[in-house]
This record gives sequence, structure tokens and C-alpha cells, in this order.
Amino acid sequence: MSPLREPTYFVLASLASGPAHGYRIIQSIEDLSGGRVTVRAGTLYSALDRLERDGYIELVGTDTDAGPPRRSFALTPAGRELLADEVTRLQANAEVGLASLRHATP
Amino acid sequence: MSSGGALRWVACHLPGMNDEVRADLVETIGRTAHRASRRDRVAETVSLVGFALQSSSRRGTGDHRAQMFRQGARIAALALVATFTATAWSQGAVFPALAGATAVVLVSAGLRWTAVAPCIAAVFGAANTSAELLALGVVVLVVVAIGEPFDRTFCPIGGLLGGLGVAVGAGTTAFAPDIVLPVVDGAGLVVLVMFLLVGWADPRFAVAATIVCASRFVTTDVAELIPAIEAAATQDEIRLVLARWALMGVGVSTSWWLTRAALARCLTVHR
Repeated sequence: MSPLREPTYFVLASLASGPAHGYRIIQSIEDLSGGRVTVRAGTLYSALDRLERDGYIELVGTDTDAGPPRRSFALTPAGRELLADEVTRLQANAEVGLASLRHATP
Repeated sequence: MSSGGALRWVACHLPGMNDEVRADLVETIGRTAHRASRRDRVAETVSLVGFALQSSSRRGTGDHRAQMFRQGARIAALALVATFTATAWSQGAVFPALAGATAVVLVSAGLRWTAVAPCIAAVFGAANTSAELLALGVVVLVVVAIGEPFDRTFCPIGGLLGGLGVAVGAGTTAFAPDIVLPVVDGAGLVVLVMFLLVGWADPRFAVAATIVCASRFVTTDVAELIPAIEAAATQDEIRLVLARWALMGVGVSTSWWLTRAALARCLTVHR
């Protein structure tokens, strides 16, 4: 299976813990990656668009959150499966690298 | 206007997205902009423009890959028919030039099969001029026929703009005929670069760049390469033609790669 784009992967990861709107997703991605990954609003909404079209996330309503109504998204079962597959792939790749490094260490 | 306000203004006025998405986007921008550096705000603006272009292309084509190719061919058709017209004028081929000018106006007006008729006339007219003009005429005919107008409606403003372009070109030819081809070549390069830049987000423009590059590669550079070698031209002349041929080949490969990347970015979640 082809790897996911990094912003797409992090959007899915941020939604794994529960529904969120755009700004909360951006904050969550920064927290999850320890500030290493910053997703721009344009990139985020492109990813949300594609994921919603392909059925990996769904619009679950509006979240007022002490402000104007915001569109909140949640993972669908297909999205959860896609995320799990990607995590497995990344884990397998990481284990290959770690094994090589252990083997090479004198 | 503060920098965050400027970014919100851009988000409010970008075309290609529905009102709900726009409102959500503006709210998100409002919260992130105030803590962003100038460099971040520039990067954010670029990403917003990219999103708007992508959104526009997806709405205009219904996410259909074939439609993206056909609308890209439409964009290329306008550039190629303008090039054909200017080339015909510079070679003194009046009838093909007039047919090409008519096609420019009709293609600009969003017409498809009506625009094919003057293209056919242009090909017949070019048959007695040069091989390059004839080849370009055939390519233009094919691209106009397969191109799909964006919204399939007659656009009088587009037609007027096309007519204005033709009038400017005719005026330039009448008063300064020597600068027509160099100006067209220069403008063609600028247009190609713009197609490539916009094509990063909107695949239709990447398709247009590929078609324009490939058409020029086939009708100009290959056409010049073989006679140059056959005529035992000087080494310098052959080197120049080969260098141009290689450059156009790189242009074709680059724009094709960009087309594939833009389509993938637009249509799939995978790399």
C-alpha cells in the first residue's frame, strides 16, 4: 500500500482520540509531534476535503466552543483502519532500521 | 490592517470554496494568525491559495481525472491557437492567420465545436506554407477538439477579451512586425511558467503546460533537428538545435511529472 502523506497521517492521528474542528486539529498535531510538525490551514482543509470525500472521516456536527459554530470531524471505521494500517507499516519500517543499527553496533 | 487581518481577508475572498468551509477556514486562520511569524503568514497565504486552486479544480471537474485532462487541454488550446495565429502572421500566411484569429475569439468565448471549424480552415490554409505551421495547425485542431470548456456555457466577456488580444496582435504586426515573434515567444515562456506554478495546485494547468511543451517540442524542435543534421549544418548550429531540443524535452518531462503529482495531491490521500 502506498504511504500516506504526512499531513494526512497526522490529521487521522489527531482525530483518533475524538472529534475535533480545524483549529483543534492543528493544535493537536503540534502537541502530538512535539512541535516538529506544523500543518498550515490550507494544507489541513485540503486533507480534510480528501479524507471526507473518500469516507475516512465524517462531519459530525458543529462545535461552538465559546465562539462561532465550527465544523467538527470524526474518524469513520474505514479511517480508523487506514490509520492502523499506516501505523503498522511505519512500525515495520522502524523495526527494520532499528535491527540494522543494533546489528551494526560493535 | 494587521497581518492577521490581512490573512483573514485573503481567506474571506478566495474563490472556489463553499460558504460553510470558508467560514470555518476564516475562524481557524483568525486563531492561528496572531501567533505566527511573518514567514509563517507568507507560507499560510501560499497554502490558502493552493487550497483554493485545488478546491476550484475539484468542484469544476467533479473529481474526474478525465475531466481534468480535458479542461487542461482547453487551457492549452487557447495558448496554442494564439501561438499558431502569431506564427502564421509572421510568415505572411494571411488566410491561416485570419482563421486562427477567429479560433482565438471562439475558444475564448467558451465554444468548442464551433471553434473547430476555423481550425480546420487554418490547417487547409497552412498546407501551402511551412511544415512547422501545418504541424502546429494539426496539433491545434486536435487539442481544440478534445478540450472541454470549464462550464460549457457561452462566455461573451471571454470572447471580447480574445478579440481584444487579436486586435492588439494585429496592431503590433501593422506597426512593428519585427517584434511580433520575439514578443510571442517571450510571452509564451512567461505563460508556461505561470501554468507550471498554478499547476502545482490545480492539475488542469499542469496538463495545459504538458500539452503546450509537447506540442512545441514536436512541431518546432524535432522539425528543426532533422533538417539541420541533413543539411550538414555547422557543429555550432547542430549544438544549438540539440540544446533547445534537450531543453524542451526536459520541459515536457517536468510538466508531465508535475501533472502526475498534482493529480495525486488532488485526488488521493496516498503519496
